[in-house]
Amino acid sequence: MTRSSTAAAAILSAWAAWGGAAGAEELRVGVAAEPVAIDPHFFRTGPNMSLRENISDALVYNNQVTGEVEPRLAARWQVEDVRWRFELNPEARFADGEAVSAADVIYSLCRVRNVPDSPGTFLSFIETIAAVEPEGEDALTIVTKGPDPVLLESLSTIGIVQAPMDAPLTYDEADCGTDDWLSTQAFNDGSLEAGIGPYRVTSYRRGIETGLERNESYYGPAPHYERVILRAIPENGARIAALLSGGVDVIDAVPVNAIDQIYQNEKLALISAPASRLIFFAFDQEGEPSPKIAGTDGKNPLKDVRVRKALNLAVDRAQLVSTTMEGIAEEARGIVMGTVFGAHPDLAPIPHDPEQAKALLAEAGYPDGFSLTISSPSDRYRNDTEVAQAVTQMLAGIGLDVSLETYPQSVYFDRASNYEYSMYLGGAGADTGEGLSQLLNLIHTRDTERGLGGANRGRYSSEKVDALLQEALVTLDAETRRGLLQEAQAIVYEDYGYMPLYHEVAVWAARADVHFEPNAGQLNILYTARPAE
Amino acid sequence: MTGFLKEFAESRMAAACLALSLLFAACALFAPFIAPMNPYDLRAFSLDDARLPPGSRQVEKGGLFRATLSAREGAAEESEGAATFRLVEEAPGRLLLTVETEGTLGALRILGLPRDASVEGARRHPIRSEWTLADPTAPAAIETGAMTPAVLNLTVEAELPATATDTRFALGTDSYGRDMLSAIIYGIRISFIVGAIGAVGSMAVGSALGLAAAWFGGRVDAAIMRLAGFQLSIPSLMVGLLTLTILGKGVDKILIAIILIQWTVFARTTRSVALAELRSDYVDAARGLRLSAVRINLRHILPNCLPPLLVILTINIASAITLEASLSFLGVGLPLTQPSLGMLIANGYEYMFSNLYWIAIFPGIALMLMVVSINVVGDRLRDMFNPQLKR
Repeated sequence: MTRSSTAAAAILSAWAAWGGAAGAEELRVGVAAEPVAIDPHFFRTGPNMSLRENISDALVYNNQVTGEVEPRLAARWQVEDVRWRFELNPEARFADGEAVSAADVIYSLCRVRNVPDSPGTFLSFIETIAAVEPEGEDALTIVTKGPDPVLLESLSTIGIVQAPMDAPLTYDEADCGTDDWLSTQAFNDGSLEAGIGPYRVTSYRRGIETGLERNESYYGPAPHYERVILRAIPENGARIAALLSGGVDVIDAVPVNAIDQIYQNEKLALISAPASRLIFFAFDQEGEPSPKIAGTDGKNPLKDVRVRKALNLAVDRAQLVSTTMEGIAEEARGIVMGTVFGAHPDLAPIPHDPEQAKALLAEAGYPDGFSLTISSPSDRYRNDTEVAQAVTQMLAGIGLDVSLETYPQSVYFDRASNYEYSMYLGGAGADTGEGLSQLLNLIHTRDTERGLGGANRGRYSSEKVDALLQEALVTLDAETRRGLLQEAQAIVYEDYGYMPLYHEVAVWAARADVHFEPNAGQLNILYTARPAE
Repeated sequence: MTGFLKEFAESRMAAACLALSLLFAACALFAPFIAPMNPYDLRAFSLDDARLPPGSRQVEKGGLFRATLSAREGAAEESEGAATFRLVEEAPGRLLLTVETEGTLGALRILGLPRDASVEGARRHPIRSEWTLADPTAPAAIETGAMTPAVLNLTVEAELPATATDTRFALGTDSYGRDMLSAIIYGIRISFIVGAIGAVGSMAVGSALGLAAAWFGGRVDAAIMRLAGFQLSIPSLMVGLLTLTILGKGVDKILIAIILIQWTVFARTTRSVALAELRSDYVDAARGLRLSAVRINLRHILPNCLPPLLVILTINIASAITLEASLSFLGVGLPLTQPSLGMLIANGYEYMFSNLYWIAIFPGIALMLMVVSINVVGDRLRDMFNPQLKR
């Protein structure tokens, strides 16, 4: 069965292999989503951040596998309360031979706020910076507004570009006294380099491919492959066919239902890493009546912790993970995934107990259930519709009259932000590689002005949680901070403030003779790829 | 009538297709009595039965015992309900796991082992550390390398054998454990009803507008026909997508979309036939009797327009079904939990790569048979009403 379909797929995409007869020093990667710009500051989204990691180094690198922050453009740093002093690596040079200087760093930090027409900036990563003081050419001090324990992780997302002027700007929270901002177009058409990275971009054709070439003057270890081609193949079937036929060497975002086939193919290898993104259902805990609930005389039952607990108990997470996700996920224990800083080791997955759920519903005054429509995106997360429908089925099992509506992501999240849902599926990861950013995003009381609770569209709100997270924001001691994050999660767990389902597992597939390193942030790290021993 | 049927049946193909169409119509009418289960009742099926191949039996899962063992120096013992899990060291780096329960085990899984450990005679899950034993009744041998680690944590899931029930899934199940046969029968029901009501609705709207255009002539005629012409210039799927994006999902909205798309064909045909009829003497006679315009149109002109309209109706039922299926396939049609054929195909399409062919192929075949047979019936009717083809 598998053999024959493999052959069929190979024939189907034989054309892909035709153009792909390349030298051994080239790596071809089939990506599900292509970067929408080369400009490292243009758009805060997975594919762009993934490309940035390979072509435009930040001051530091946040290794999400080991949990360590590693030096990049900054060779050394030290911190004293709110003052962070960075010494730049004198070996790091731009394409024209100029060494990276404090002026470039300040210009890049200023540009984050001033990128023209950005659909989503990296602003929240530099929010805490109050001032930047250059100290000669190759050192600078960043002063934060209060103690910022995650400044390094935040800075690891900002690529440093070459400033068009020699004198360092004066950092402020506006335009830094200039209007000379490099245009995104200039990065995209190749007239400007994106910064200093192991690779540099040689060609960028939207919807087709991005070509990279090894940066021979890179200051760090040289990557193995001379050239890398990122081919945009959004269609799941086509991406797998390209891998099977040898048209590409690596693919990302392997769909759940192709895993077995790749596993059984000896010439291919699966590469995976648990990802920090939590897939959850959020409850509307504010609306009265709630928009998608009927049969409750205008009351919002989701405000009652017993109802939220009942809904949580109705879901069989083990079944969801093993059947719907075919084992490519981890049952959620808390909000923060097990190996990420701030995870709570003692929380167990919420058990599956439909009998208790029914009893709780009756106790809360809904012995005959109520009518509820749950909402899900249809094209955002892996298997999102399937998961939502499985949950619909499980909720029907405790006597609720449930239906499901799905929307494409282009309208889904706008509606969520307009509070048009009662219970909706969402996902949120640890962007900076530690738990605080994820918790601020998910369980802090929603305050869009201050960038808090950005993903908390169900508006869970607890003063205690807010206080703990605010304290964690200014606590530099790692162990104390960890304790605060865990305490906050334990409260949400007791409140049943969310319906956590599972943490995703990021999966790549590669030819067995290619060594490719996975990472929890679901970024494609190209410079560590090499032929397997 | 018998003569008509006899003439119709001169084409064997058409007769077979008529029988098939009637069968589909019966499916549509009596789905709740024919289908083995109700696929719209979310409580009727469970994920336990997901993705079973055609011909499988529904199973009643056996009891599950789940225990977390923490083995120090290779030994551990844990009891969970009626099951006892025992881990002993057989040799350095080799541990034996035995599970004692009443009766034999149906499945045994070992989870959470370290990366370099393996289990003899077991299949590892492609991604996570989960080993499923080929023979769950024998003790499981865990290999941990040269040395037995000081502390070894693992989770064991022991499942009693599943008992097969009498329910059989003739065409397999989809990824939610829904019986494909029932889902297809209900899918035919939705598709057929939507197609038939949609086409009849378009005929009502279209022929009314066509009659009006022919009767009043002049500006009314020009307005209606230009509108029809304008609309024919837009691809029908576009009109459908646009309508449903604005109105939202649901059977009623799909019907509106179908009527919006199909009225034009009926209007144009009715108008052309009615224009010819309006010059007939019997119409003049009716006018002479000072009968009302409505009566002349409905009682005298419309019956004469019917033969070509009926042919178009049959063909348009088929195209309405295709349209609904396309819209559902694209995800803007009917609600997910009440799948039509198009949505069943879309669901199954995802699984083609993992060789779960039955989820997409069977609804596909049903849709194809339905559309082809209705089309053939329509074609045959057209041939019969065409005097030039008469012997």
